[in-house]
Parts: sequence; structure tokens; C-alpha cells
Amino acid sequence: MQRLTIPILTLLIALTIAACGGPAAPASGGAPAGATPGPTKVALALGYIPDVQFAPFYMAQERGFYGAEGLDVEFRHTTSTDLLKLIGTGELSFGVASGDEVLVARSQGVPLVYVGAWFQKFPISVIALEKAGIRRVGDLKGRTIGVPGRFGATYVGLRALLLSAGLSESDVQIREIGFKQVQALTEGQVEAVVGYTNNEPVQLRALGQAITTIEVFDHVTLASNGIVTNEKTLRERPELVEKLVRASLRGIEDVIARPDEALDTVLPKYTPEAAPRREILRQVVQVSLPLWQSEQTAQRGIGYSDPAVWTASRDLLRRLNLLGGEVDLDKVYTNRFVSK
Amino acid sequence: MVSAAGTSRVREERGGGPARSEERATAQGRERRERRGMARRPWPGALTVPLSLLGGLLAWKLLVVARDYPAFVLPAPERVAARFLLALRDGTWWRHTEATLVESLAGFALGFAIATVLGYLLAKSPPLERVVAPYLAASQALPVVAIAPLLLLWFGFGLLPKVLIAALVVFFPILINTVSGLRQIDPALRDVALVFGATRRQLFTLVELPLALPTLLSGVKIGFTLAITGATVAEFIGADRGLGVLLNISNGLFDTPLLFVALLTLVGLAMLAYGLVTALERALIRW
Repeated sequence: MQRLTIPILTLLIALTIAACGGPAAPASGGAPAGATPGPTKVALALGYIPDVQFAPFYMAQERGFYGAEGLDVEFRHTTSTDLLKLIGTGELSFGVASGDEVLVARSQGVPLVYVGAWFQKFPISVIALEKAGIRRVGDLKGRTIGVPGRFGATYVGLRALLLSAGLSESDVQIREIGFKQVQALTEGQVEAVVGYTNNEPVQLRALGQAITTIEVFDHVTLASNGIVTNEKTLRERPELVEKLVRASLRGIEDVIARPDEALDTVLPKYTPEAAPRREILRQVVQVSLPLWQSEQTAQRGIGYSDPAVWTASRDLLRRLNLLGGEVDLDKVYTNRFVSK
Repeated sequence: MVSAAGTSRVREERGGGPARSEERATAQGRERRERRGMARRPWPGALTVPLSLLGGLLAWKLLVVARDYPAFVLPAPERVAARFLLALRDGTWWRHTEATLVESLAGFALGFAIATVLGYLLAKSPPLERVVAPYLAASQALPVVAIAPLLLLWFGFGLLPKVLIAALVVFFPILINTVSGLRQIDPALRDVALVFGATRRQLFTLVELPLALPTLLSGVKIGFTLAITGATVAEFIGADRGLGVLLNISNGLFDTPLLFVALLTLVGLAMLAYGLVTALERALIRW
């Protein structure tokens, strides 16, 4: 038994490594080649389970915006880190992810390009029960704050927020609580939690909790969710990128114009399990709409990336020591597919 | 059902070929077998392990060179080694490894204690086994990743839920091996001991424990490595330290070399645990 175990273990490790590398083989791109007259198949990765938050993309599908561009879009649901890696290897061509993650990934050599902004405001909030008396960033000093983990938008948002008030991680007690913010806060296990502006505050209020929130976007500038592709797709199939971005941005505009209709369409088809929570989800959508718009988008159209935001984001992430290497901002994002 | 599953695992573990299966587990036969096995162990073990490790490293390096993978997909071994040294110097590595070690050791101890006591009772009392068996089977149907968030919620975010999750994973294989280890003892041996006037305690320390020990240790071997997995899963869900946390952090930073450092540390811990129990096995079963 013992004689065989270690060689077998080693072999298994080697095989696992080989298998992990396997699918990343010669980057084939998400879409098939061939100039068949039918629609072009393309996969769009979304960084979470099917959820009403992705309504703009579901609506672009349901209203036929993708179809009108000659695209046959298939949604893939995974985590945003995984989808960025898959786009980086060329296994997928398109996904939706946060600008700060794109910057971190670029700094590690993942060849991603952000081609259309969806959120104009970084949608992260610090939430506390009203009785805790947390109203300003400075009030967080010495408090116990729950985050899902030391990764992702919630963690970056919290650290950036603390930095804006001259605080650091050591001035507060950070607790990793998984995605159990609502429970951890109501059970009193932490004094504040970090969550998504359009989710946890809505859930907590629906539970009848009196809460206070501090919005990260009121204090810090961070690039947020948008459409991401890889350098290869951008170089070799710019027309495909243009079509996908154009149709997706129409989806965003459509939800802004008719949010209730979007909910009625998306809920039964994409998230039937959530149907009993329709009223909460309606509020989630309502709270989301202003996050997708800004003065900039009023002038330059939905999807616009503000260069100042990207510069500030990169500098902030560098100060937070999250960037592995140098980042050339000209390669990170582009506005060439955004009209107006 | 428990004992059936246990017996088949015992056979696998022992690798008992047809030549062995006809001999019932008499003390003499076992002793002879153990000696024979030990005499053959030293040299192939000493040579194959470094060779196979070297081969694995070489294959890894070749794969990276041949397919020209970027570091975020598959980092070359020397990049991982450099990252390891960096994590070692800045204290990252030990901070996380220590947490996983503490959780898995405590989880193992807890799981082991409960499983052996319960296992002894079940082996002695078939009616009790019939009562408990459905719950044992049910407990194995629950994926750890699914109940870990619940345990975190119920027991807070400190050390306890991680230890409980590790203990939970350890519990079943040790229980099964305890039960089957005791069950496979030839009843005739027990009768002989009783005829010669052995007390209950003597029966346990002189007959049951020594004879069940090899099977029990097989369970320990599996359980020890599983404890590490259990602790890591718990950390993955919500913790501030541990290799599961390091996996999450490095993943979020797209730092694949650091991810490999965490993974290889887990592999190393499992191999170390396995080696320790194997050494213990040799020391204990030598008499």
C-alpha cells in the first residue's frame, strides 16, 4: 500500500495539472469560425448564478437585440474570477465583470479588455443597524466588520473606503463571514457588513430592520461592472465585439426605460425560483437603475468609461497593494464601441 | 449496511489477494504477514518517492515549456518556488498553514474520539447499530460544502465551526473501520480469552485492541488526510486564516503561483500526515 501510494499521488497531481491545462489549449475563441448565413454563436459569461441583477442582458436576449445583430447569445453563469480567467485563456470571448478585477487580472498578465461600462458607480455599501450609530466612514474605527472574504469587490470596496478616511485594516476588525451578511448583521455577530448596494440593504429593509448605509461611491472612485473581452477577440473580430456591446447596452437602456416590464419578463424565464420574492426583486432593480447612470452617460451614452475613473482606480489599487505588476491603462479599456 | 461497507473497504485497504483471503485473521497469520511486508518496504520506498517527485516536477516544467502557458494559467515550478519563498519570508505561508494545521488536528482528535467510542459500542451492540445506521448513512449524504455555511452560521465565525466540519469529515471512515476491525475478530479467540478468565478490560487491551488496530489505523490514515480537506473547505466558506483562505485570496488576486503554493502545501500536509500514520502503524504493529 505505502509503496504504491506516493507514486500514484504524484501521478494524480501531474494528471490533474495536465487536465487543468487541457482546455486552455490553442486559444480557439468563443465563437465558431465559418461564414454560415445563420446567427453567430457567442457565449456571454455572467459572474453569478442566474439572477435578476443581470436583467439588461436577459432583456437584450428576450427583446431580440442580440438577434438583430446576428448573434445567438448563450449565457454562462460562473464566478467573476473564473470567467475572467476563461476569457483570458480565450476559452470564452465575453463576460461581465468588475473594473477593479480587470485591473488586478491585467496586472498579473491576463490579456483582458473592458469594452463597455454597465455600472457607473461602484455598487458596494457598508451596512449597519441603525442602533450601532455608524453614519460616517470614521465611525467604523474599532468596529467589527463582516466581509464575504478577503477578495472581490466587497473587500476592495471596504479597504478603499477605510483609506478614504485615513483608516487602515488594522483600525477595524475584519471578519470573513461568507455571503451571510444579512444573517451575521441581524444575529449581532458583527457590527457592520459589506454588501452590494442593490442587494443587502434591500433585503435587510424588507426584514423590517432599521439600517444605515455608507456608499463606497460617495467616497472613492472605482471602475465597476462592465463587458469584458480578450485582446485576441478585440484584434481579430472587432465587429463581433461591437455587435455584442451595442446590443447589451440597448438591454441596459431598455431596463432603465421599463423596469417593471423587465422584471415580468426575466423572473419567470430566468429565475423562476425567485418568483415569491418579486417585491424585493422589484426594489433591487429600482435601486440598481441610478447606479448604471451618471452625468457622463447623459452626455456620452450608456456604456461610457470615464478615463479619470480608470486612472483613479489603478492608483487606488496600487496603494492597496493589490496589483501584481504594471498596468497600461490604454490596453485595459476602450470607448470605441460606445456611441454618441 | 455499515458493516458490509466496512468489510469491503478493509479488503481494499489490505490489498488481500486470493492467497490471503482463505486464511482467517488469526493473530499468528497477521504477524507473519506484517513481518513479510516490512522486510520488503525499505528500499523501493526510499528510491521511488524522490524519483517519482522529480519525474512529476519535470513533466510539469515540460508541459509549461511545450505549450507556452502564461503564468496565470499554469506557472512553471520555479515561479511557484519563488512565490513560496516570498510567502515564507513575509509570513503569509505560515500564518495560513498554521491555522489549517490547528483546525485539522483538533478536528481529527474530536472526530476520532467520537468515532472510536461510538464504533466500539456499535460493534458490541447490533441492535444499537440498527438504530443508529440510518442516521450515519444520512450524515454521509450531506455534502460538506453545503452544510459548512450553516455550521458557520450556528457556531459563529471562530475556530469551532472549522473544527466541527473537519471532525464531521473524519468521523465516518474511522467509525466504519473501528466497527469492522472489531467485528472481524474471530469469536473463538474471544471465547478462549474468556475461558482463561480474562476480565472485560483484559479482553479489550489484550485481544480486541491489538487485533482491531491495523484496521483502525487504516481508518486513521484516511481520516487524517480528510481532516485537512474538511478544514480547508470550512475556511473556503468563511475564515480569516487558513489555506482555504489563501486559495480564495490568491484566486481573487489572479496570483496563480500563490494558488499553487497553497495547493502544494495541502498536498504536502496530506503526505506528511499519511507518512506519520504509516510510521505509527509500523511502530505499533511490530510487537
